Amino acid sequence: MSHPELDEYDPEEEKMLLSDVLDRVLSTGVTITGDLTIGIADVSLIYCGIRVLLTTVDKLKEQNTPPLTPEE
Amino acid sequence: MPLLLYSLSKGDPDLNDLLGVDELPVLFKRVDNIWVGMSELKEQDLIIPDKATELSQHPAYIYQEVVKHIHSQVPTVPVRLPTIVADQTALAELINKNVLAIHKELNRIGGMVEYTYHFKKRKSKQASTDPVGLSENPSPGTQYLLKKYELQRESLKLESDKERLTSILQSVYHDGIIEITAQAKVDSISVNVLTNAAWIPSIVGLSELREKVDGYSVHNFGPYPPFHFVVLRLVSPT
Repeated sequence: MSHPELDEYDPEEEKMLLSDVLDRVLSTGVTITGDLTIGIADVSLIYCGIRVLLTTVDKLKEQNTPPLTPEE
Repeated sequence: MPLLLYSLSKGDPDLNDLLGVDELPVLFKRVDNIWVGMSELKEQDLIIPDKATELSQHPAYIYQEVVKHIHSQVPTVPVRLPTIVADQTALAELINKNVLAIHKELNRIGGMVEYTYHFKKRKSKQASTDPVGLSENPSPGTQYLLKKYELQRESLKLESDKERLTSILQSVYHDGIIEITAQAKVDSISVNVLTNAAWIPSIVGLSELREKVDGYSVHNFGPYPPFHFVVLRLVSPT
């Protein structure tokens, strides 16, 4: 069930939605206390995971990709 | 093999062929009567994905959709991205040490959903922020101060509007909202509401909301798993 109320394409809307998804998955949810960072080939997996995400966000911004609709 | 965790669920989601981040299969393992959604990571999975050229293929979006899918099947609490444990043994120890807290959280909000409301500020002609005429032939320093003043003014206004809009939302949907969180952003206010899964915001309510929130457009999205309302922190078995 979805109630998107997007009147028309708006580049600002895209930024808002991307920011919404990132806020949701990177800032909320169950967390683990303590140092559980593990590594492969001397690269921290958790650090690497965040780097992967941020890099792809930058790529998206550079490429002006189409907007995400909430229930796409 | 390292495991990327997605979710903790009350029952078996019974989902086959579900693909997660980087197209890795999503597996479910039962530990102490809790079903954990996860993907097994390999070293090559850590390569930065050039293929994420569309938002629908973005790892964060895929992660959200996987958790949504699981939550549509069984009561679930989402795990923050990226949460990774070393292997199956570490996962079992982690769940075992926190099993009571996990069950408590699943019972509290596992079967609930959240909706997000965006209140986006409408662009309008603004009243002068320079009543004494400082900006006539302003020096660079004056320009800087005027800009700073304007940003501060906007920030204070958003904070004050956050309270007002949250209150209006509560008055319109008082029958459905269990918990509410709000965050002021650059030019918008994001409000998340926790509700029972059976509750659906009414179109009438949305119209009423739009009438009451002067100066803002309203967009609402959902339902999502109760991401913003999770308060569970698992203690690491050290």
